[in-house]
Amino acid sequence: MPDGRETPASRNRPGTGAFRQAPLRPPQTVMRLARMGAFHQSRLSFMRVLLRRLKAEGWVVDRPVFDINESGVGVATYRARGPQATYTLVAFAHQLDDDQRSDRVIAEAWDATFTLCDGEVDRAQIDRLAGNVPKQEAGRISENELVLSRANKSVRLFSHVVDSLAAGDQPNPEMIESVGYLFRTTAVYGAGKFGAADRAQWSTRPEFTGSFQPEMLAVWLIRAFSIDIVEHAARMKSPATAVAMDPDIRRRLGIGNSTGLGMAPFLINHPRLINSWIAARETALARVRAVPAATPSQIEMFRQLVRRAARNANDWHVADERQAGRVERLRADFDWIMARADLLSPEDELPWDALYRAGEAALSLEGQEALVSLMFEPHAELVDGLAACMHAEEDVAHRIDGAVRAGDVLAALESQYDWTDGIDYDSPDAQARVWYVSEEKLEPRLGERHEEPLEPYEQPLCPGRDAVRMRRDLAGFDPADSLGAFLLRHPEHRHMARRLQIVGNIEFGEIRDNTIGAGMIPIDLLRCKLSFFGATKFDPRSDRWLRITMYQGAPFPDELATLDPDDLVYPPLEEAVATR
Amino acid sequence: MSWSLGETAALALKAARGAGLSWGLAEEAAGAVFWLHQRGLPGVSALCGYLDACGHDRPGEEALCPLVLGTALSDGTHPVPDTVGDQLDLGPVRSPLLLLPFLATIPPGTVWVVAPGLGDNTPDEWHSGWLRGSAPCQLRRGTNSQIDPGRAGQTRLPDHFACCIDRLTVYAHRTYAPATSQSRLAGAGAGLTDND
Repeated sequence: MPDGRETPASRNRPGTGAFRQAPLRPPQTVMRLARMGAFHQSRLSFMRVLLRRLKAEGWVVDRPVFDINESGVGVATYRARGPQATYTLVAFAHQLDDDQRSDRVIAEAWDATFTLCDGEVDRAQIDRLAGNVPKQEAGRISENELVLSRANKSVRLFSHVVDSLAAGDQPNPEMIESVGYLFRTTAVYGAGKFGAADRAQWSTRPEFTGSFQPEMLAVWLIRAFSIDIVEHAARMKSPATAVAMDPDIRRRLGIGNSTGLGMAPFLINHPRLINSWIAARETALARVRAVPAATPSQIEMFRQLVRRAARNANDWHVADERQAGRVERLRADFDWIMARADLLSPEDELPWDALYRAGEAALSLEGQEALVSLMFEPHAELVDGLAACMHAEEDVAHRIDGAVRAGDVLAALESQYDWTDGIDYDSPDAQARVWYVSEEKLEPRLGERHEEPLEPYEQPLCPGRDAVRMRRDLAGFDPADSLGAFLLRHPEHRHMARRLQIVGNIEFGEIRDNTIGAGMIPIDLLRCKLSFFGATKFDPRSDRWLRITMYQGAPFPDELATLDPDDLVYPPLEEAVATR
Repeated sequence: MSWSLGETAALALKAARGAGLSWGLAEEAAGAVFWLHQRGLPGVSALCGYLDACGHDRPGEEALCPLVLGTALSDGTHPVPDTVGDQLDLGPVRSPLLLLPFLATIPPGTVWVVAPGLGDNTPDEWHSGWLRGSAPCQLRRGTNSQIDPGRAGQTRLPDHFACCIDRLTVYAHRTYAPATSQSRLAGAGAGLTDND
């Protein structure tokens, strides 16, 4: 019997294991920005993968240091101990004037700064970190640290919670729900940034199998800190009357995050990694669609979770007009899904495939992708093992096979990038945008090509256009000659030649849309990545930045042994809370 | 203080691009720097040396770009000696240390680059001419790898490369676009209060 674990042969190559599966959805369907921008969290999301592992392995978290003064300034450490390793979050709490509180990457001060350390920390390490971590990008960390991060308070909610707890009361659940977090991170840097350990130094550790696991661990521990610091502030304010937060209210507090364009190029720059994520998700869907019949308990679980997810959609309020319309439609989609779920029967043949196909015809993209995520829920044994495939080794400079014939390269370009045939890159709209790095923020930004002098600074984040350019030059080149010879004459196509050889061997490495077109919506790129993280409550603040919530509803370290993190992703039905 | 090899390679990419190389060649530069430092060899010094000299050849003293030559070698468009003991003159090559990563990609990894004018090229005593300036070089087919594969275990760039990091940062800076009033308004969170 398959047990959900991937066999070595299928590792990092979903779809070749012992499971029956339907055909994968083709990249032409999946790798479109509109659909990727409608993805939802799922059992394969990295936060859920982390908490499942921590729970299964009995990880224990304690707080060896809590040296925070009455003004809320100081340092605390959170030590997570598993069967083979220990990691420690060092948290520095600062005093920040309101006029300095900026989520933008150019900020120079924050309410709190963090680093996740490899192993235990001693006083000397804390002292070294105290001279660097509060400076963030202007400081340096070392190979003993894995993650660097910072966060700002939601002042309104923080004050409310402090006042309530200090007076011996619990905070207002409606206010908790409407904000969703006490702190929001404005950056979570890992994998070698600012001196941190390179991914290669820890990627083979079992607890970090998959993607972004150190970052997810850091954020989960930051969430624990956010509660400790607010309860500490309440105690300092009124030691005689202060109370701790009720665990059920506390659990509705996640960690917020503000994310802008800095994250957007990631999906384009890491085709192998993105392929591994999407391929795992699509394989999970294909497996579920191939399930011959649903059991009564699976049907019941699905019905329950659809109702709870629908509640999430009801609580999802955004000011952004486009997203508000999509959420409105999603609510209607949930009515449809609930009605269909009620019709599911153990007698049905291929029930999930039938449900998916009906959904494909009836639902918006938001609804279809929400349905996909929900269909994973009753199928842990088919889905969860795929998380181990969600990583990729990416060379700094993948070696180009220069011996391949130019004619074959042209044919490969024509077939891999056939989706560019419908785009006229000579028209101003098709190249309206320029990805560049701003001198002021040292972060990727998106500008208007025809209105700003940005073209000389263009980053290579437009594979469609570059493929078309390379095709034009290849068409005039001797097809019998080698790619190496072509690149000697045209070194400007070298990055595209490399990319073609990378994406030519994988199915889901390339976004099949114009990433520099006038109609491109950058937050679609952000949403896709954040859904894989496990974020919820996507709240676009413009077409190029958004706020999200992480770990809302998830167990805290002291609850991990007794609560099911997968179940808690969806809000409980009995606590219908109106918001805003 | 030390640097991760990942951030070093990311800086090398930007520096090479900032110095005017195509994106594809800049990727090769980053890959070469990463490969060299994994083996404890001074890749950032060689890249700095090359970028500083690039385009400043005096008439009659032109030298080959190690990245263009290196990619031609790894792409298979430049000949290499086929049999052990054979050699091939390359002429003057700028910062020839940067050729090593490309030669290592040619199966079975036994093509060496030697620079007779720079004396012995034992792996730990590279004459500065391997990093800066140019020297007449030859390719030779050996019986083993020029750089012992067992060296590839370094994970950090030691802090004595701080000068090179600073220099590469200057080149990298050329890839950054000056802010405009329009770009300031379009950035994440622009114009909104973050005190919620």
